[in-house]
Amino acid sequence: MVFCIIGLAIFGILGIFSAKYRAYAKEAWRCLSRQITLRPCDTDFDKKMRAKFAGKFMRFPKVSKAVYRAFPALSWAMVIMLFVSIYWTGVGVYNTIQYGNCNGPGSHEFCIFNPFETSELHEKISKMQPVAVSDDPSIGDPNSPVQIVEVGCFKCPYTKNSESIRQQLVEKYNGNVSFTFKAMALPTHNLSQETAEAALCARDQGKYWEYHDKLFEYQDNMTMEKMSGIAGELGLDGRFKECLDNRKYRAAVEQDYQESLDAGVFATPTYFINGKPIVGMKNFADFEQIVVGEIKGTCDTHE
Amino acid sequence: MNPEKIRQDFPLLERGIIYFDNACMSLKPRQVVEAMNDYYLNYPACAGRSVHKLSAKATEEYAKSRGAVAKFISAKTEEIIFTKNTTESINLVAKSLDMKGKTVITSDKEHNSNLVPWQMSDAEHRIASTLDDGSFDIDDFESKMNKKVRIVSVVHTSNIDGTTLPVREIAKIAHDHGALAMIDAAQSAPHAEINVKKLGVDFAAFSGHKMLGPSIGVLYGKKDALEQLSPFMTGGDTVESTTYNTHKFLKPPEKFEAGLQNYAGAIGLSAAIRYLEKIRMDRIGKHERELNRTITEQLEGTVSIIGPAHDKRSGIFPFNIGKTDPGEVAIMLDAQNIAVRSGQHCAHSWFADRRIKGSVRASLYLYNTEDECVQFTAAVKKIARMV
Repeated sequence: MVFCIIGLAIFGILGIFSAKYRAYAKEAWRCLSRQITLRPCDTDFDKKMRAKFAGKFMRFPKVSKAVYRAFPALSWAMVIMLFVSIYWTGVGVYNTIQYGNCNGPGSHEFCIFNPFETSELHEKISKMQPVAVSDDPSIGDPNSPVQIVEVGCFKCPYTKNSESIRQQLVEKYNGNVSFTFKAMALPTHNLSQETAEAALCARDQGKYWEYHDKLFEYQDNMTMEKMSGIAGELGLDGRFKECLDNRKYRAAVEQDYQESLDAGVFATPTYFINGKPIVGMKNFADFEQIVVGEIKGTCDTHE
Repeated sequence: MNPEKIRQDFPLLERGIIYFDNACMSLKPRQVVEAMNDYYLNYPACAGRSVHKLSAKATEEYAKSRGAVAKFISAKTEEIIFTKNTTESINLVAKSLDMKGKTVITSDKEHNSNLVPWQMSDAEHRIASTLDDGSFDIDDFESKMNKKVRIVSVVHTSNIDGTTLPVREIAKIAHDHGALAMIDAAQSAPHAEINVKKLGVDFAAFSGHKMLGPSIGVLYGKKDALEQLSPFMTGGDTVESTTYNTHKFLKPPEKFEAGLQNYAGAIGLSAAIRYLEKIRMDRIGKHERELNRTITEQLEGTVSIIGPAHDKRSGIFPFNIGKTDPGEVAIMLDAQNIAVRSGQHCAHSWFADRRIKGSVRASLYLYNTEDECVQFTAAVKKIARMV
């Protein structure tokens, strides 16, 4: 009976697209409805599925045997996961309807699906202005034809996941690309303000980018102690601790946050390539296409 | 007989599938498909109606096919009726014979197709038992015979356990009591030489799709037996002439073939018969029994086999692995590219009577090999260790 529940959910969805799965969904439903009404399942749906799953691993007899024998336990695990998923989906739907964001009130985090967001998103992006860059850390020739500014948060997982793009761009288009990182310490992330301040403290000793990279490396288990530990790891002296303890860059980080908001940034990472905004993670190929276009455009203009 | 050479005529086998579901449906050799394609591409016309060349060719080939089927079972051409399948052949007899106040006897291991039509008839239905070893209890059968019995209709070779009933003896006893004798030869005609004259039966029903042919059925009826039937399906091609109020039937077999027939099917069946006769039916049966012996020897003790010793089970190997659901075993064999049948094989009454949930059935044919049997037994052993 247990697998009939998960089978009904999975094959019910797949059945929308394929008649083959529709038949399975019907069997699962029949099995489930009969068992709920205390009648025996006459389709043997769970047995069929057990044999099909075990059959997939027949080349590996031990695995197959384990799947066959542990199938009831696996079914229970899948049903629990199903109900957990349903719960979180419900929470997301509620938040979306109530607050306009699947993550709840005040959140700026990314939602995979937001039916209300599409047109709103385009509108937001179209209203964005190039973010102010004054004293933010840069890498590459400042006179490069392509100026990229990334607005990111040291505690944002999406910013972390897009880090490799910066490294690849700077390496591949050295001389043509200048890259600036502007920290936007999102209040929804714990220690986002402190990490941004710490990175600027490291900059005082010429180790900004090294510290920046370490912050992302240890993002998942960041603490104040860890921040000091990184400083030690990079050979920063007592001035770092003093800087961090005295909150030397508190105002600067808050100013960066405000400047980002003023530019219309609403999610991290947001990139400005020669002032044109790109919101969210993109893959390297997408970036490369834009960067190459910008390089060519600049040359054409110069010609 | 060289199975490796035979396999070259069955393109599907090149994919590495082990096909052991022949009791349900056999594969088709190229020759059969080509014969049917020839009809569809070169003379796809009505037989026996129009006068143009295409129709003449179709008429000729259809007649030849009937002749080939007749020769295959040692019957006369006019004794062969083409139907949709064995089920329709049996229904034709059950619905066309006057059974009011009469009795019909079947065995206790009938396919639903030789059970339900008789349950639906006006006759009293008696069941002749089989013994624990699967053999037919001739004494029990004889004790149930009397002058009220109109027909005895029994399976020739059982699709449940492959046992063959003593049809000649059964037919003699039936005739001695003034009854007709019919056999369901769906599982015997594809695997053994059938001589309806020697068997002494009045009717025999079988299908093309289990003997390398397409989906088509055959009803053999002895001339005087056919004359006792009143056709249950009538219309075009069954009558010589009509008025607004009357009709005059054609003679058998046309009398029983209502409407446009499955000409391609008949032509394909004729090609299948040519193929089987070239190899010889006695060799095919021997080959299957040898394969069955290999499987039986390998799996005795690992699985519980339904039925008697392998030499009495023709090419059928029915089994269960402990209490494991037969359907599960079949699915796990399918995962290893081995096609078998599972369940109650359309013989629910037999399984219900013995309180058996079902069985897994491997059924063999001329293109199966020793190597396939070894792979099959290894796969079954693997499953037996797993469950």
